[in-house]
Amino acid sequence: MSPFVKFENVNKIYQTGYVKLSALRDVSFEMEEGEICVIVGQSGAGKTTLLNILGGMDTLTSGRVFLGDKEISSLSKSELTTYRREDIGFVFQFYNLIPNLTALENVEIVTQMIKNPLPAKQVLESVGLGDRLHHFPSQLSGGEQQRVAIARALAKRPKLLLCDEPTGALDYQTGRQILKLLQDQSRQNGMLVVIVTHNSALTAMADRVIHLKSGTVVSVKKNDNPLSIEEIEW
Amino acid sequence: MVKMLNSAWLKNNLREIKRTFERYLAIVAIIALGVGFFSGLRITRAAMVKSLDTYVSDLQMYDFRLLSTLGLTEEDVQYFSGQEGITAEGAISVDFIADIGVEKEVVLRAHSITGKINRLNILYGRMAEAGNECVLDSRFFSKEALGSKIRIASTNDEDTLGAFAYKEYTVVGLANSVNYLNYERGTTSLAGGKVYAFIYIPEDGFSVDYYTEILVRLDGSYEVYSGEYKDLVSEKEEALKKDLENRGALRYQDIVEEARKKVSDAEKEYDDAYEEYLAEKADAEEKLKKAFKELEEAEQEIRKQEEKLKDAEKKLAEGERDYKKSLRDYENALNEYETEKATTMAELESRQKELQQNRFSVISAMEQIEESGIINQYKELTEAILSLEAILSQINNPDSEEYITVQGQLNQARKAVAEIEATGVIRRYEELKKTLEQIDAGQKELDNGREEANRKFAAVESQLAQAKSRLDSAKAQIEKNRQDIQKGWDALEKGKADYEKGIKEYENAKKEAEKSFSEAEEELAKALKEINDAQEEIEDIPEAKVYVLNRNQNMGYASFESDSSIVEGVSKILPIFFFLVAALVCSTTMTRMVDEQRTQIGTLKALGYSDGAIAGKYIFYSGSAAILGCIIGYLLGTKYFPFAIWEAYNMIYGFSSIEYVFDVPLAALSLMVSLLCSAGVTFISCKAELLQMPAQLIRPKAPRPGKRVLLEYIPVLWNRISFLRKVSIRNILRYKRRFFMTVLGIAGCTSLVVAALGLGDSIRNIVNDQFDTIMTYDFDISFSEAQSKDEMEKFIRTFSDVLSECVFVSTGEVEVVQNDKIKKASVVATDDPAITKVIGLYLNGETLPYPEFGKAAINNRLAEEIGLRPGDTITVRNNEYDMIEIEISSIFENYIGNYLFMTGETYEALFGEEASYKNAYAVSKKEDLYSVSALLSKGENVVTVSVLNDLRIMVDNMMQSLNYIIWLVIACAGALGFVVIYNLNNINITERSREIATIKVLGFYAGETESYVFRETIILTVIGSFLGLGFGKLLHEFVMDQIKVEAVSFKERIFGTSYLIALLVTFAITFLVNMMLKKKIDRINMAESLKSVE
Repeated sequence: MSPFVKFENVNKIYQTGYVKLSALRDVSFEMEEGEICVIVGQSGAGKTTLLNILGGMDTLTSGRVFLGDKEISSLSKSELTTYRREDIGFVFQFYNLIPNLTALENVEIVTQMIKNPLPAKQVLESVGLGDRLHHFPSQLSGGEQQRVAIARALAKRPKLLLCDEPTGALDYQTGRQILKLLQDQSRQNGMLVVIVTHNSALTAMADRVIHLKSGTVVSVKKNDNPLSIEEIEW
Repeated sequence: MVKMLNSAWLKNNLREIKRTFERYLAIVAIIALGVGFFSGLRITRAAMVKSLDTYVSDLQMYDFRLLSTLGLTEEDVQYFSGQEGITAEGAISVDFIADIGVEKEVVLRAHSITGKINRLNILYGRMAEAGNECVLDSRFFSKEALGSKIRIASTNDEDTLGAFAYKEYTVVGLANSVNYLNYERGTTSLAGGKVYAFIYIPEDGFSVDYYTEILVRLDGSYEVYSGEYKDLVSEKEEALKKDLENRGALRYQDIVEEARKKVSDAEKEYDDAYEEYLAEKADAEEKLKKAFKELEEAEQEIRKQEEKLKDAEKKLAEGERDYKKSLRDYENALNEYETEKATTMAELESRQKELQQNRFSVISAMEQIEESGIINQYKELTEAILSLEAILSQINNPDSEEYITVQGQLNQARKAVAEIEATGVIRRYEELKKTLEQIDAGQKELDNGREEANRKFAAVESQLAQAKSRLDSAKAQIEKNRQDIQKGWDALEKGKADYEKGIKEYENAKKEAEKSFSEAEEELAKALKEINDAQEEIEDIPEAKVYVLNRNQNMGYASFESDSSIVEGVSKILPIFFFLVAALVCSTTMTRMVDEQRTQIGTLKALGYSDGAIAGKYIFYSGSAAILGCIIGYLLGTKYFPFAIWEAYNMIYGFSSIEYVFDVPLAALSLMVSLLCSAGVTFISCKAELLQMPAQLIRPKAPRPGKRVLLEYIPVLWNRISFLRKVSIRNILRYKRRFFMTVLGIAGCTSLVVAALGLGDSIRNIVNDQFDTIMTYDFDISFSEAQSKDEMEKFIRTFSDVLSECVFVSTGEVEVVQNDKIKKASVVATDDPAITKVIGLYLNGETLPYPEFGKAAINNRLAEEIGLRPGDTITVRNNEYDMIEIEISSIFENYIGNYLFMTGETYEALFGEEASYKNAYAVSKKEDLYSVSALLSKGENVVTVSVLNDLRIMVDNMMQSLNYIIWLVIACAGALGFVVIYNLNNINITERSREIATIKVLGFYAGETESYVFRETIILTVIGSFLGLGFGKLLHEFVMDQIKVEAVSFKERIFGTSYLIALLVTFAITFLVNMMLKKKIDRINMAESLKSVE
């Protein structure tokens, strides 16, 4: 069985004027379906760039990226949009909910776009927000907002859930709850969840840990015995 | 504050401007628009008034016109010019029919050229100098008229003809007159009722001995229409009126005195004439008497002559008898005499015969002897003897031979003689001779006897002849007498005839004399009556009516004031609206800017910058934009608004070009309002943020909470709306200020376009309404003279195959005088009921009946302006003095011109003269109006045929000039819409870049993203533009209410297409802005969404 996600010698060079900045250098790795994959590294290590490329938000300079049989690196701008729309679920550090929509509506905005979504209400209930469906983001706590964001990502049955520092703006306890939710979703639905973080403590919960440093992959470790969130302390 | 001005601060601010240039520009633009609109509209009146003021003071327009029904004299002028603070000048004006070289004669108003007041503005040529030169109206004559001649038509009445010193005047110049500010030239009592143009002639060109008016100009200069000027005028007016009344009374006295003197002169003359008449009459009677006596004498003479002649005839008959007796006596005597003479003569004859026989025998015997020659021989011998003896006697010597010879010869001769004597012959011969002598004696005796007889006879004869001649002369005398008598008779006859003739002549003369006396008597009686009449007339001489007219009674001056105020009226509301939008634009922009920069503000505060310094940055930002916008707006607005509006009015006034004014208070006010709308608004709306504590500022601002909108509580509707729309709706309602800004801006844009187009609709459509529903006739035919009933019928019959209707009307121009207002109006009078078929009298779609006797229908515009309603009384005048009051029966809709309709009978009753049907309104049966018009113009007495279509085209062209204003307003509206929509979108995009990035990440396609952003604009555009349609209608109503063009009434109307165009314009602007900002959305980086909130 071929790997679900595959990076092959990916390079990304940002050019501003005469200054060339190499964000990713010859990055290659693979991910399997149903895994929780944690990408870890310091600020400026290239985590976000990697996430952007994988999420179809940015293009690469050279190399190839695959998701399933789809070569993402060869997609056009509009195909990338379709890719984002149908295959990817995003969870942002700052939730990025639309302030003018209720929790339910923030999910529905996504479910309306695609063909076979999960019912929004059901997803929200599954993330434990069954009683806050009609609250606006400003009326929700940070954790609740992130749950809404996760529900929004899950509702479209993504092939890949990308999370960018999902706990970055949350307190410890809430962060744990969110991570638990992500872990549960991965386990229940067999969905590939990629978590980008600078917190190496989270590596313990991952099936696979990719360590980035200065734009290169330092190590790819397979964790045969991932811990559940309850077991992790940081 | 020193810190504030350091270079870093300034640099920071300038960079800020550069970085957010679009926003900056939006503020500049909206302030420029507001200021431009405000200052432009505000200044227009000032500019118009200043233009007029300059013109008026350059040409020294009069302040007062003094008129008197009795005319004004040089003394009057001197009286007024002697007053302090016044310049006065006498002027003459006379209306006359002029022959200007085209087939149509026109009425011109001739003015005397005045040097000090009402100067002329010569545009072409030069000023008239000689009496027979003139300067002509430049509005109605072109340069080609220079050098041509204006003739005083012979159709003028005598008074008019007498008022001019020349028969024709050479055009030397074309000019504007300050007396005529617009195209209106006034009314006249002459043919047509309308003055075509003015003409200025030097005073020498007139031959009148009085002035028709005195022009007065007050010293000092006050701006036209200004309060000071009005005060001054009303203050002076009273005094002038009083003075003028006094002068008028003096003039009246003069005239009365003069008339009295004339009457007394006439009386004296009459008396003289009467005396003369009497003298003449006596004289003539005397003469007649004498003539009669002479005739009597002549008759006696004739009788005497007749007697005489009869006597003469008697005598003549006697004479004749005597004569006849004498003649008989004479004839007897003559017979006697002749018998006696015959016997005597016969006796004498017989004796003569005897004698002759004797003589004959003797002579024959003697001849026998003689024939023998002896006698001769004898004679010779005797002679020879004699001569020889003579010789011998002389010879003294008888012995001489000679003597002897001669002796011998002598002897011989003597011997021969003796021989002859011897024969006896000689004796015999001697005897014979003796016998002959006896015979001769007998003869002599006989002759004596004869002579005696002859003498005796001659005596008798002469006696007879005497008798005869006496008889003859008697006869001649008788004849002569007879002739004389005849002549006498003839003469007598002639005398008789002469006498008869004399009698006749005498009788004629007598008759004639009687006639001429009665005539003279009649004449005298008439003269006496005239004198009496004149005396009565003196009593009737009207006292002078005087009028002091100021400029407000000048049509051009008065309408200029109202026309120039229109713009001011409009300027009251529109700019407020612009400034409101400007304030909202500023507020939203600056609020957004402060929101964006709250961290920076907090940092700066933390670094120790004062609140003032920080607030200063934003105040500088918006304030500098406002100053810039204000300058741009002021410069453009105060130039192009007056320009465009002046252009629009140019067709009415056009006496000079617009003068631009710089109004310092207005500029200051504009600047103040702009700063208030920008810096002020900035301060107020950002005060909260700017004064917060740094700690609060450094923390991200809590996003504005989402809120449910009212609509959500109506699930039936809300649930049908897709989420994206819900977002838009919620967004729209989230930022109320932005919502108002945008809706107001867009509504403003739409409403301005609606109002501007509506202006065009209202104005353009009056042309259609006027000519399609009101004046439905095709031709206005004017005739050279009033048409009689027969003539009208004949005309209608003649053209019955080309005209479906033909209504004869009497038209005249009057001035409606009501509440200090003067309005021009046409009076149309006819008794033909078909008038309603060619002129539609409607009000609000209802047909009105034609006014009945004694009433008139007037048009709505006129009624409105003078504030009258049906049943009220309208006052009009058709000359300077007579006022006529008419009851209004109804008010009808009419757009161009003011009209009073009435019946011919009403006209006659009110105006005191018969309606003269010199015009006809006709409707064509045929399509080709011009061929029919050509046909009509050949009709009897037809002078001109004007095709209404021409008028329509002319009015159409007139209306085109308003397009300037329409386009200017539409351009401003577009700019307003653009600025507002652009600003809204710009703010929305920058503010929601994060949200946009998020939805992009979530997989919104480009189109979906754009519509996510622009939907809001579109919804606002829809709301704003539909609101704008309503506002536009209101605005249009307001503007139409402000617009008053003399004699033209506009029907407030906006066509559907105008609404549609306004919507399209607004949507096009939205579309344009969206297209421009699409790239900006595309440029938003999705990675943005991953960043932290600033």
